[in-house]
Amino acid sequence: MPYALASGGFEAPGVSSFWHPLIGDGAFAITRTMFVAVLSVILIALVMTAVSRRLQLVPGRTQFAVEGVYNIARNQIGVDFIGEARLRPFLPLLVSLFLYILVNNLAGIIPFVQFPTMSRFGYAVGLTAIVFVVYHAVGIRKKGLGGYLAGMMPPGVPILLAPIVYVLELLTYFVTRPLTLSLRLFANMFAGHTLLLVFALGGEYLLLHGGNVVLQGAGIASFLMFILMTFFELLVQFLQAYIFVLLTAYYIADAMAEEH
Amino acid sequence: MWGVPSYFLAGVLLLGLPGWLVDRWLGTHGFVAVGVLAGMGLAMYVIWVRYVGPATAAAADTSGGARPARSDEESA
Repeated sequence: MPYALASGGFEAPGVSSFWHPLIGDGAFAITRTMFVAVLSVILIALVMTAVSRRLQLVPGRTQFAVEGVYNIARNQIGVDFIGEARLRPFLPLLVSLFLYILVNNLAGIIPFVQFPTMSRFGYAVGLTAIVFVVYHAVGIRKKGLGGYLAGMMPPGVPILLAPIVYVLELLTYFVTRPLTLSLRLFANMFAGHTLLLVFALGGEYLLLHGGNVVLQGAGIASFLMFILMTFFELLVQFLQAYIFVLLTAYYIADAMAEEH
Repeated sequence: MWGVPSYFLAGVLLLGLPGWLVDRWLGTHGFVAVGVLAGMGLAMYVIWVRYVGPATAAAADTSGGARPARSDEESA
């Protein structure tokens, strides 16, 4: 909610800073978030097709960058967690998720776009819903419904504790895994964008309406923090995309695991 | 390990929520705290079972990409 400081008309950034209808209004408005999401898909599709059409043995700069991103999703995450032998069916999902989340997170600090798609909860929930369906489907397909549900029980738990541990596992698999997966991504992007807005808008207000040298100096310091935090956000944006895909791979591997 | 928060949340929900309900019914104050703490304890136990204790020993025997098997592959 916007509220005024003692000095006058400064509107602090808040939840309302994340609602930007471009065409229309209300529930069916075309928003800035949708625009960024579609833009990211077009960008990814163009770059990926262009690069894969002209694959060279000695990669150029663009191919090198794309292969680097692909390698993170495939080798560092996929091979590590799922294993090379079983990775193939899940590779498109992992790479697509990583690229999509990474580009949409980076959109938060790309000049003129400057809006992280995942700071709207619905987008994070949508991605999580895909992951949720995939890892359960994989587990049920591999072990059957009964086998999958039985496989959630970790071995070596004393019989007295077993019932409550099993309920905890059920709650983890069906409720808190998707909840934490979506919340982690959303909350990081929301908080990061709000932080940048506070430093940028606050700095601007202090500088233009501060009225005296001390407050204007604080405005300049605020802008410096904005630049510093932008680099910090770069790290967070990459890390969150990485963690989302890492957990996706872990959940899939866990659903397929043969022990227990 | 990034999968740990979901266990803590599940533990807190599993025992904290009943504790909160008991508090509301009886008009008491302590059960929600006991429930939350017991839930976190239970979550820690399950995390230990999964990532440190018995389950990792079982996982190391089967091949595949699950986390515990990895260190074996690297050392082999």
